[in-house]
Amino acid sequence: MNTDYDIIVVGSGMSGGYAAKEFCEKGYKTLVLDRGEPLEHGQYKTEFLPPWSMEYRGRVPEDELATEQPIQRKSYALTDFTKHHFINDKDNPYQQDQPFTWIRSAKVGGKSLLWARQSYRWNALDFAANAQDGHGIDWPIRYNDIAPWYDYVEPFIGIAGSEEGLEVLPDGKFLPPLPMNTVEREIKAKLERAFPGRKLIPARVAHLTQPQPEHLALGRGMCMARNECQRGCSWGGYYSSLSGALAAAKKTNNMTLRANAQVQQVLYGEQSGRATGVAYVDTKTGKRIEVSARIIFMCASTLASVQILLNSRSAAFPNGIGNRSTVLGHYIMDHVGAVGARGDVPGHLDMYYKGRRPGGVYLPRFRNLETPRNDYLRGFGFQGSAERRDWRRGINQQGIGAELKQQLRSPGGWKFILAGYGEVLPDYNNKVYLHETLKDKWGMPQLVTDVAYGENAIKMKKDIQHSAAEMLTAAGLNNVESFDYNVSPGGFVHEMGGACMGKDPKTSYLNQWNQSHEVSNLFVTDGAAFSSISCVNPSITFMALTARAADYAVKQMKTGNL
Amino acid sequence: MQVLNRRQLLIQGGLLLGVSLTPLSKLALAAIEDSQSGSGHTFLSGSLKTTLAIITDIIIPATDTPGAVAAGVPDFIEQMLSRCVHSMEAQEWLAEFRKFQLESGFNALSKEQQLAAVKSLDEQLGQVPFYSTIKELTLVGYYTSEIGGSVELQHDPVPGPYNEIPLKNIARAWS
Ligand SMILES: Cc1cc2nc3c(=O)[nH]c(=O)nc-3n(C[C@H](O)[C@H](O)[C@H](O)COP(=O)(O)OP(=O)(O)OC[C@H]3O[C@@H](n4cnc5c(N)ncnc54)[C@H](O)[C@@H]3O)c2cc1C
Repeated sequence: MNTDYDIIVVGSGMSGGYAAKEFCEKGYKTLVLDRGEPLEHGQYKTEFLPPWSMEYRGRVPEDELATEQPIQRKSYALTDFTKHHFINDKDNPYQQDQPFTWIRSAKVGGKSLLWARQSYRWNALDFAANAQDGHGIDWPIRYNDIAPWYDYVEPFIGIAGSEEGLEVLPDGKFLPPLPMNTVEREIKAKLERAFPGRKLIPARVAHLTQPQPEHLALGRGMCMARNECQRGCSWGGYYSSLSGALAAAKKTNNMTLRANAQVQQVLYGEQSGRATGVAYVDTKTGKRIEVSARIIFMCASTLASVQILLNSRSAAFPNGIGNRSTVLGHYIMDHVGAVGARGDVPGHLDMYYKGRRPGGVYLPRFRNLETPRNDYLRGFGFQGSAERRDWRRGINQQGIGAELKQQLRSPGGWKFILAGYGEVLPDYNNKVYLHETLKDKWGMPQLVTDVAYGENAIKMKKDIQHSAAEMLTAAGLNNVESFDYNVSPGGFVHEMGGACMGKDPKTSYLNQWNQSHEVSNLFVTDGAAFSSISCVNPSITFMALTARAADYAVKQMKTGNL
Repeated sequence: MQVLNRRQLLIQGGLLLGVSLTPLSKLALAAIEDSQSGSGHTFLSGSLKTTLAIITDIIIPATDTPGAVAAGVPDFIEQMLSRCVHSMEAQEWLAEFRKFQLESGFNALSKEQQLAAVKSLDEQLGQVPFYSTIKELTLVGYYTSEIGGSVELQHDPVPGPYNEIPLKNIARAWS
């Protein structure tokens, strides 16, 4: 086979970075194509700027948000310090049949630069749920298939966490956890007494609390508790594709990384019955370029991968490559959330902290485990944290002058918050498709989203809100107030599905190796492959499945099957 | 743990609520004309600038550390209102602010009277939208300035690992 490269990886973010590392380390010439602008690890232009050296102290002018980033502005992480890491919505339009917030990155490294680093393993039930309750496509794998791959990726990523021995949240290979503070320890004790079976544990986050030799060798160092991660971190204190996998891939000299490369199609060879390569547009010159490889890994992020695959039409595949089942684009999911409760914690006024801890506490799923409810299926978990109020408390309090100033010189009382993330049911009717006529300025057909929360999610949301308030009250908090910010799908940036894995080529897009049922050298290893969504954050599972699929592809190449 | 954006804060603060548009927008137009004839900044006229400066320095005065005016808060507020909020909201704010200034004759009041006027606004916090905005932006502007963020409070750019500490080990809160 005479190809330009052994492997093409589309996308350099969380999933694509990991694919590149795996193939490069195994000696394969790998081309990584990313639509984003180039960004070198360490070249983070706002990293060290205090608010007073920013023209608007970190805020973005209203007219700029309204014209350039009307969608991206919905992310809490978008500020004047970070906006250049988010995509420009004007240049990258999509259509919404129903409201869907599509948060996207603007740089090489993808959203791995922007994530909140929360990292939890899926459990056995997560992979079995579709089969058990009949919603969605049964996963062709189970927890035991992926467990060794969590073992494999976690030490490289570097995840701070505590071993808890919980079936609902399997332990991983951890660095020392971030400490829980005095208030969180008190709430833990009270909660666990009031609700036997529930646990409040340190958040598991991709931060180096104790860097290991393999991290140091890549130039990564200890997390400095700056918690300004989305600007980029030249310590490599948190995991990003730039500080981690891409750095490792680069070391091998087997990687060619091309930025400003918008992949539009996977090319299909009618004769060979294989994917022959991809076509991309250089967004700086507008030139269309074709490049060939033995194997294609799609890692452009859930919706972008689906968009490219739908657009890969040929005589053999008029609905998109590998899509005879026409299931491509269906079963799009995002978590349900932005629901929870907060309150004031009395006491502990003699304790404070140094550092901005980049993660708080986690309360794993407790619903629909032993005793099923009759109002909704599946479950949710909570992220939370306790901190002291800062000077912002003065905004809504009466008081002026020297007295106000003196008061705000000390930290205020403690507050605690729990915010839930719930699993939604996979639903065939939640879909994305290509617009028939509208294109972006590089000629890529625009994606249309048609995704909404179902009744199950709405009922679950009520219970999330109620449970949070109930727990905070039981833990002795004052002024407990529950909230529901009514965030649309997409707003959690955990979009999954669209090219689901399954056993049956008639109803699913990928097999148990993230491999197209119909085009053997085409793999999809980002969130598009997911047949359900669990209630925990997805990114380490994207990486674990990517590493597993790469290992399989390498073995198939070695035995001559690919 | 979504941080409220400006627009949401303004909505919560009631700037968009209970404001009747017609009479106010006339005042707003007048204020804009006024501001165009004024010197320096484009958003507020000279006399409104003076009122704003006096109010911010009453909210955060100079004590053993410099106050709001020394920290550049009035300029910051003008900048926020002219660039970082919806122009309609900014104009409604301007109209209310101007109305307050005209009706109270603020700049001509004695120091004690000015203090009393701001005290009375503060006692109605939450019910007087233009003042809620001033108070919020005064605090934001002050504590994100170099003086507020690193002299009045402590700036900690590279804390090292997170640690619990007794409060008594620390002279001032982190900014
Ligand atoms: C504010 C925020 C907080 C988050 N917090 C968490 C968290 O705590 N835990 C967690 O697990 N997840 C979190 N996430 C989600 C996490 O970032 C994503 O799950 C993850 O980055 C997805 O990985 P990916 O490889 O699929 O996509 P990405 O990381 O987005 O990478 C995709 C790459 O593909 C490129 N690309 C797209 N289209 C094309 C094209 N046509 N041609 C070429 N390249 C293309 C993009 O430029 C991008 O670089 C968060 C996200 C955000 C924004």
